[in-house]
Amino acid sequence: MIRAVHVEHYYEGQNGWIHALSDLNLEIPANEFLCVIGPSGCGKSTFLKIVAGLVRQSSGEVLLHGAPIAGPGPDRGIVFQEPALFAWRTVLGNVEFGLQMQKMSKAEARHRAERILEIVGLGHVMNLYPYQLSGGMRHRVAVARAWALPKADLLLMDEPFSAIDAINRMTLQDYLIDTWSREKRTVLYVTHDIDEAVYLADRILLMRPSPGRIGRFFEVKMPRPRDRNSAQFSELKALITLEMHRTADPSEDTLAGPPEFTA
Amino acid sequence: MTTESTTNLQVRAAIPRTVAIKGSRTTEDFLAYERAKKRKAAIRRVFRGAVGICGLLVLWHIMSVAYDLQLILPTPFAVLRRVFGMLTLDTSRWLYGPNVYVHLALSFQRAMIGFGLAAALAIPLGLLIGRIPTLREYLAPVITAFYPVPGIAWIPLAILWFGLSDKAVIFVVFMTAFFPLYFSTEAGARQINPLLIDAGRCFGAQRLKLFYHVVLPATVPYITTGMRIGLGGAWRMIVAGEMLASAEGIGYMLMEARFNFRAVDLMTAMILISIIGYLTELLIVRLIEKRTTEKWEVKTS
Repeated sequence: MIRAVHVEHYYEGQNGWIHALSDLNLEIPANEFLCVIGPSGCGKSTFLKIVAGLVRQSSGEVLLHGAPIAGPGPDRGIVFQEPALFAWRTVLGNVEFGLQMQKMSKAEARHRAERILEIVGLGHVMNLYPYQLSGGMRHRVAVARAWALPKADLLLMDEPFSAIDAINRMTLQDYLIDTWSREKRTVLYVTHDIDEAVYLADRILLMRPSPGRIGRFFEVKMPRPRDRNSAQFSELKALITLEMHRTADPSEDTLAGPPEFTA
Repeated sequence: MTTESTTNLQVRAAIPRTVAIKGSRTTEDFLAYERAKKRKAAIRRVFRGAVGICGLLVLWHIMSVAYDLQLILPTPFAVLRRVFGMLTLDTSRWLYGPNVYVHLALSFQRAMIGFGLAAALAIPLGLLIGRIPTLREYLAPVITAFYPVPGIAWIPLAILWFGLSDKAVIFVVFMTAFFPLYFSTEAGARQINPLLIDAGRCFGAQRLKLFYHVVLPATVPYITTGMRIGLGGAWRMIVAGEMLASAEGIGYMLMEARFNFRAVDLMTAMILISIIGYLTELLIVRLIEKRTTEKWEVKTS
């Protein structure tokens, strides 16, 4: 599905060039829910932006279905940290946006958008404008807008719920996992919340900062819906937390456990 | 005993009067209360505004009568009578050719054509220059060079180019309305939240589609601000233009009134300009705002 080969990325910071990604090699199989976590400055958002086509890597290759990424496009759905909804469109209009841009017929676009909104439980607010919604609902609309794209078998989510309070965040995570279970897609989900990653992911990639690079993978085989209070859940969280603290120190080069871990 | 009752009275007097609500307070009560509060505020606003205007009229009347200035400063009553007379086509002492509606219509038409052309050019140009840095580098100096030249300075050249005609007046209106429209639009387009542009591109909007579906609606609050300023400028300039370059229109009427030493007609024409300017703003800008920014609840930052 996605293959990153020797990806390097530099960008201009305030005090010179910043080495954001260093020799990143990664493969994401179809329909996998991959969470990327790591401290700030580990390049996780940069990698997502490269896959989205909003940023071009300095060198190396990122292949989507075997073809290099040429720019942003509706074959990938994206959810940003802020909902970034179009204030001038209703909820329905926002979800229809990506469909209308692709010359889908009006009736078909409407039908599809309505169906997606029903699935994510927003059928009753379809005709409202974004300002009339609560923060949590706006985020759900943002997810629905990405989910509605007919050809998008890849969903990119850049800390989509990080600005939401803890209780609403859990509800949104449930909505997301529920929707994903019904209609599987590949998901690349960037977060800095370990709990969230363990709750959602099939596989977790922990990245290391300065320069951003791959730290360690964690397979999460726990069945869904996952119990946040189970021993297994807490154990994995503790392990990732420990590993995150160790890798945050650039001089620390050894890993606490094997490079692949399965829970 | 006495002191206690006085205190009680004072306390009661200090409690502000609001809408009485009996029993438990429901949402309907709250909404009714909010409505009553809004209505009261609106009445108060109108009343205070009226007091201000009346104050001005009284002052004006006293000046006119006390210093015996009726010839150059007619009383408000004389002017109001003349406004009414003109609007009902009273022909006594009518020195200005066709009736007042013809003059107003001509001025209105010129203002709208000039303003419309300015909007048709300034808005797309502002959007493009606001979003495309290369284009900005090419064109911003050209526009900046023209900006300090006041619209009125174009009148002589306009007469040379177009003669004493509609076109000359329309041209200066255009030159005046263009800049506020352009600068607001350009600033608005430049300041769009980059995330919205990213979202537009990620969801498949490219080039013209991106401009039409994302850049334009995101800039609307700035465009309406530019329209409001541009329209005000257009009305100011239409009068100046017609005073110098036309033989009809409300500006021509003003000039003729001066030549005929008819202060009452001059002031009448000024009042008509004020009214029609206000109505035009209401009709165009408010209508657009009602259908866009107010519906979406967005404001310029």
